[in-house]
Amino acid sequence: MEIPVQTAVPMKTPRSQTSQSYIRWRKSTLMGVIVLASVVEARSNPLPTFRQYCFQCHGNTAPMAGVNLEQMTSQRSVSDSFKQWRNVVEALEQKKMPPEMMPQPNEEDRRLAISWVRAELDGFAKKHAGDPGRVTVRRLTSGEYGYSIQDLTGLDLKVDRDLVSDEVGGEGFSNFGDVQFIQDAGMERYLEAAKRVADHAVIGSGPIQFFADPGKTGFELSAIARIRAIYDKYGFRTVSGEGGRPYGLDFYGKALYVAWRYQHRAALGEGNVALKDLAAREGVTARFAQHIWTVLNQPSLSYPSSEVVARWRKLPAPGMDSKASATTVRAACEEIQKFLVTWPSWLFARGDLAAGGAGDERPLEFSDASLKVETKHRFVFYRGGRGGPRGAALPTGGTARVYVHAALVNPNPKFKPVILWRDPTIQFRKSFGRPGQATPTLAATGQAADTPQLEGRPSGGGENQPRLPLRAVVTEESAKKLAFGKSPDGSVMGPEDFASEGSTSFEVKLPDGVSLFELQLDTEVGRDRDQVFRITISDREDGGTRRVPVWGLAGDPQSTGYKTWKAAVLEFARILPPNSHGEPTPADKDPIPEPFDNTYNVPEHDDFVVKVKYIRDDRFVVEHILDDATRAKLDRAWNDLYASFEYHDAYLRLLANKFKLDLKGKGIAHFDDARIEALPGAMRKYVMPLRSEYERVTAVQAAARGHHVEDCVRFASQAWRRPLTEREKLSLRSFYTSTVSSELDHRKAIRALLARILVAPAFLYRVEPAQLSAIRPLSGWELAGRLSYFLWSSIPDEELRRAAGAGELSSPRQLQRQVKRMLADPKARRLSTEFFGQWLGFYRFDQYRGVDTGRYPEFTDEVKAAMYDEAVSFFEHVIRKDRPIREMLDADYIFLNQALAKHYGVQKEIASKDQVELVDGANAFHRGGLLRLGAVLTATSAPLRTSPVKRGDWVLRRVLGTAIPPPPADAGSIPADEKLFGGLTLREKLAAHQRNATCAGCHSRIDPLGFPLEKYDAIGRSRDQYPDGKPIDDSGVLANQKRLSGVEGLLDYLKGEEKQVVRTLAQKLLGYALGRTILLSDQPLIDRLADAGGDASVSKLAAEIAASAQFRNRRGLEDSPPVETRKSTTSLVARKFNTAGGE
Amino acid sequence: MKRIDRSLTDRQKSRRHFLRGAGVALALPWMESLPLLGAQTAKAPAASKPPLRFACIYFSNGVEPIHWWAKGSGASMEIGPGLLPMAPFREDIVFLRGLYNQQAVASTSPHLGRMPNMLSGATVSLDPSVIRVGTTMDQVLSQQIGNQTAVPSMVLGIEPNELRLEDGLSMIYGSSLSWAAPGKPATKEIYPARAFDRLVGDGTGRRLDRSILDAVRKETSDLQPRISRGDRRKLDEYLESIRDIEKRIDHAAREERLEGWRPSLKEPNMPRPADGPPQDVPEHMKLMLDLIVLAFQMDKSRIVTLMLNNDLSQMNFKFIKGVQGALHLDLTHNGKAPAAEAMYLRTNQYHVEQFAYLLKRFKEIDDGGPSLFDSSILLFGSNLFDGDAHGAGQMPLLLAGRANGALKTGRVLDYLDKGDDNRRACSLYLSLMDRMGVRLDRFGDTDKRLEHLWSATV
Repeated sequence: MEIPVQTAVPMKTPRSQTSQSYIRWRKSTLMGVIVLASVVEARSNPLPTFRQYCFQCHGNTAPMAGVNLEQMTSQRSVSDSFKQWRNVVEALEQKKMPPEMMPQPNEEDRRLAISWVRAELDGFAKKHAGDPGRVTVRRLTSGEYGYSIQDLTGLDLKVDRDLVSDEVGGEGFSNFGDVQFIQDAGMERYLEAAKRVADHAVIGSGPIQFFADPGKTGFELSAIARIRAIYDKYGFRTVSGEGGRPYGLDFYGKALYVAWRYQHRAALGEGNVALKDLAAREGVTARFAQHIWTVLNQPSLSYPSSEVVARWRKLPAPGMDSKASATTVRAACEEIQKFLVTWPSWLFARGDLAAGGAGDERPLEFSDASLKVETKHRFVFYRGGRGGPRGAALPTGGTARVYVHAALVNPNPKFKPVILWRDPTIQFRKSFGRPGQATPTLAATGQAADTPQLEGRPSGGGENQPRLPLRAVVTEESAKKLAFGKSPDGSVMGPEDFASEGSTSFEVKLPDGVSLFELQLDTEVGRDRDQVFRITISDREDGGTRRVPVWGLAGDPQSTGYKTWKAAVLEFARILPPNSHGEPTPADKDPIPEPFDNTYNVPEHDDFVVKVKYIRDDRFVVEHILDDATRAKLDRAWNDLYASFEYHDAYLRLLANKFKLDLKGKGIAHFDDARIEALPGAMRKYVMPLRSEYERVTAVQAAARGHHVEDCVRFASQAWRRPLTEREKLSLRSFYTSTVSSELDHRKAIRALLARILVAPAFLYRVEPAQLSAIRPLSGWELAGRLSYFLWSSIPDEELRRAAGAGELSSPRQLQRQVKRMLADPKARRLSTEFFGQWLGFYRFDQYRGVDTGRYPEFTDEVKAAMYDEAVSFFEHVIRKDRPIREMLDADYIFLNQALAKHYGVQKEIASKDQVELVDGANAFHRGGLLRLGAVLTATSAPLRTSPVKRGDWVLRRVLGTAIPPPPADAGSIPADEKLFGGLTLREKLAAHQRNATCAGCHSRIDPLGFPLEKYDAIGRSRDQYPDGKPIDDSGVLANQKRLSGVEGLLDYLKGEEKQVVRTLAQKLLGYALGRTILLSDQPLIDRLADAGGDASVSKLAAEIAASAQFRNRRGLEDSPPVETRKSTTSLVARKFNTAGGE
Repeated sequence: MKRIDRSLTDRQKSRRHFLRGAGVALALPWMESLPLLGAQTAKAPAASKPPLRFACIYFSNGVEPIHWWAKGSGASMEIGPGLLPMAPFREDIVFLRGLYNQQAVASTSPHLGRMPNMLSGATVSLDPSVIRVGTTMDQVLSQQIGNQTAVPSMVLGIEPNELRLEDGLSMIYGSSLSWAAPGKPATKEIYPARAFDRLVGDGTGRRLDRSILDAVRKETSDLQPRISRGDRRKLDEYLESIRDIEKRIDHAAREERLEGWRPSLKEPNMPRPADGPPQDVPEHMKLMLDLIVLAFQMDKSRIVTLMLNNDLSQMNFKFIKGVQGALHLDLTHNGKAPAAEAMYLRTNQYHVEQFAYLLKRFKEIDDGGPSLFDSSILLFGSNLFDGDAHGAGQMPLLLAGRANGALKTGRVLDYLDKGDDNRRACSLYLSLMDRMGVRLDRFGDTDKRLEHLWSATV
């Protein structure tokens, strides 16, 4: 190895140097250069001055405060230690150095040294301004990884937390490539996370998407979610089983209104308008509007459909004031809609009629079973309701009125309906016990009380009470009204029977102390049996109940009247149904399809609900509402649902059970045409469609496979933030092919492919390939990546990708436009979280553990979370609303939720319980701005007390960007707990700093900036005194004797230093944007940014940075700055002053 | 230094690379024999006795000097109050006095310049943009003999990496006891569940993982020529980590002991810890200690380090009755207030209690005849002596375990006055590594072995 020529300033051993400087050092020594200074005599050479006055403390042996001037003067350029050089020159200028008690250089030497350093610094900065510097390839930080996954999948899968450990470096940010390490254990976590993400992929009949639940379950649930989403958006339901709420019914009103506008389009002044345009205007689908239009123009419809048409036809034609007509007609259409959707509920006496039947658990269906009529019925009515009265007890004694309703289902004014009520009896009860097991049957059949099968009579007090004829217990008046034993149509009557034309009512006399009774009676249709009655028994005049009604349809099933009526109802259900579809996952009381037993709670029904689970019953929504594209989506979702488990096999097994066939373990796949042909006829009928549906599902799933691989390729391009090369595409495709051939499972192979994309270096690392030449401009895609990770900590979005692809980003104006757009986006909150959080030290404050919660139980997790939200939301506001930077210091607003307002003692009405909201006028209650953020005040305290030193250090370092040397190793300390100060205040304890010269140098700068915040305690609350009652002196005295009094004083001071604050922000923002340490060559840019002053906004700084040369370029294969051509090999000082003899 | 032979394999190059980084000078013939080392050990018919294991338990911020001493030997050994929990184990430990690291003393950074180099004796780079220390002795062992077990080494901790700069230096320094390379801290695991999975998950059934990694490894190699030198170094780390996993998968797939000694435990005898970090510090520490026992007992790993806390620890010790405040700021730097000093002593003792728990468990476990304690070397200590004064002039260290008969315990070894050259911590590490089967000529600041350590009979 070559021996370097001995230098006047001895080098440190190369091994202890960084590899960078080691390389440089080798270069210089290889060239046999003399690094020198000993022979320099020139008067302008500052080296003797440094050597004479500085090296004693700042030389190679134990340099104080880490400043080694001996080493610095031997470096090749001031840029290597430029931050220290700046401190040096400032110390010289302000005569802080050499210290008072040490020998001082004369003024001329001092001046020369100063001007030399200044000239070197400025000269270098100007010459290399905009140098991209060395930016080591960056691995995504945990935060960036999480956000990228979130933007790629649309899901917050929380894969980022503790994924790989981050480290900070450079300007204090975790996105600094040099400190991002990876090892096998970290790689395992990436692999694990990638597989977890891939597990959320939905791989079915459509394009790959991601769903909140993973795996097989996620596949099934995502299908249901997609089906539901379509139904919810386009469909409607009057009721939807248990707990169901009506929705979407206003589509009817809107469609009726659309039809009216269309009908009168000429009169309304838009003769050429198309029905579909009117529909779009009202927010109904064209198909639905068309359907309603067709129905309304159908000539022969029966009741109740005819009633709808008739009412619509009666709508007034548009008048002079078309706006007024529109309003009137709209209201009228809503009335028609009300009739339309409540009529079915009325017919079946369902739940709360006014609420569209809500609260009724019975399925609303029109079928042979639900429309069945009987000439004779038995009804049982319990006063107060089956199972006993709810709510307030009913009054005892007196009388109780019962309404027996018999309404014609077809209004027919000419007809007098006669109903015979036979053998009515009453049994009084003290109470009704809980109904027996069989009770639910009543609810399940819907048909009330054909009682022979009803065994579970309410039991409880007084079962053995005598059953009395109704006649014996009604009031005299009622007895007279009911006219027992006679019928207006001359039917034969028993002495206890009565008849009514339509509805009637009567009053029962209650014995003392009794409020309840059971009424039992049989009904029979009167002589004219060509009509259908809806019978209900109730204690409400309107016949309604909020419970299971006592209800029945009475009529002659053989009569023409009944048959005609039934056809009309089925027609209504077909063309104007109350429900556009059934739920994909029916409630347990919903009907199941043929041939299965529809009875609630029987094994077959349960089996179907549990094993087959899903019923597709959405004919109406598909045929009359959805457009073709949505239909296709719905079909795919159903296809996925069927494919998500062995749906068809489960169905087949149930059929086999029903028809007592032994499948011998075979599934639907086994049943080809011949085997289906061999099945018993009754069963074949059901297996045939099942098999063809199975085939369709299988075929559609298979057909989608090819597309999935291409989906992955697109996904990769998004994740990798650039178009893929042909070779990469090929590699991804062949990875799939080889995986699928070894694993024999398409989904597994696709998931592996996705995982492979997410552990690829192109995703995990922000690779910017280099070329041989030194500096090159970044491509549009690389710029897009830099921009989106700078502002969003994540991948570029569609718009940015478009701009990158179109080559727009090379234009500074377009770049600026993008910055503005991106910083207004909600994703800009991440800049607050990641950048401001790390800069100002509230990063991940939600996990902060530095508070002794034993001492401060008020510091709950809720308060902690709110403080974090406060800080993040504050900077988010400043960023996204484009506020001036100045406002970060002096904002008169704050972000609070109720818990935080309470914690701070803010007497103000706060609406929000969880997310913080903007509250104005914060200064009035001593808050606002970054100094008074709870998270900052807390994080700069000790667990048990405040720390003016930490706070002052925070202001000085983070806000003012002033470097402070670390305390010497033997620095003293003060107790952890202010209770241990032995009667002294914190200030008195810290006063020692001022007396000790070693401490005073720094603490006279630190402490005065911390004390003004003393009126905020260790968990961020404002306070007036110390816990022991001692008053708080919150003033600080600066070195120049200027007094800062309280937080206002500190704020004033910082406003005076505004340029320095902006400079600090600019420098940190630049370091964060570039992912590297600031270089001397960045100075001109930082100066420019700082010149913008406090009026500038974050977006202005960000835009300037984005447009800067260092942001838009990168170095080539060699990372180090270009070797100086001019006397490149001499040391810094030597080069300058030894031009004669050095080389 | 000799020229590197161009024909060396990648594997050898990277080994050479790391050794150079570790400040190790060695002769080539020895290095060339390295690839055989693992294979020989695995096949050795003599492997009928338990293998030797090494664990280092670290606590931060030193001790209170007046409380940390030991005198005499065996059952009559007297110990200072700081060591109180060691009372039942006086015959099982070696009290080491006076060992130090030259580079720690020399560093101007009182904390971060003196901690991450505890197990390497290297210089900590104080250049804010260059993270660099030195490969630590546990990682040297891991890289040399770690392939004998499913998990080459475990690097455990309680506190996460802190995301901030301390005096302009990355807190990664204060969070990392183990360094896989001079510029690369070993990934520290603080979640018991993940450490458990790493031990118990046996690597079988990972064919798909293997093919995924294979694919991205190829892709990365293709990328290498097109990126800058610095970037290449970073992606090398990535590549290396992939290769390491692949090796482990392959290793696990064929792991089958044919003869000789077998671990006494086949299936884990503790339940899988819950996901996420335990809320409670004592529970967290105990789980981590139990995992060390599990790793050794199942012979899934033979090299472990555990950081009970980070340097500059924010750990709040209020879980000890009568103690309040954060370890570093409040308790270590206690202003000599008697009440706070007493609390600081309690934290020192608490750390010793953790070690005592580990000793107790090791002694209880049958390792196929002898106890686990007999076949282990356990190192316990901190990088600073006087925590309050950041004193790195000596380190508080204890050794335990019988090193398969090589270590005679129940002794006090005092090196303090033996001259600086004879009291280097790196001498201890050289001696320990020798015993583990990795012989280096030089490590850190010395080429000397520590005197009087091993029993003469072995």
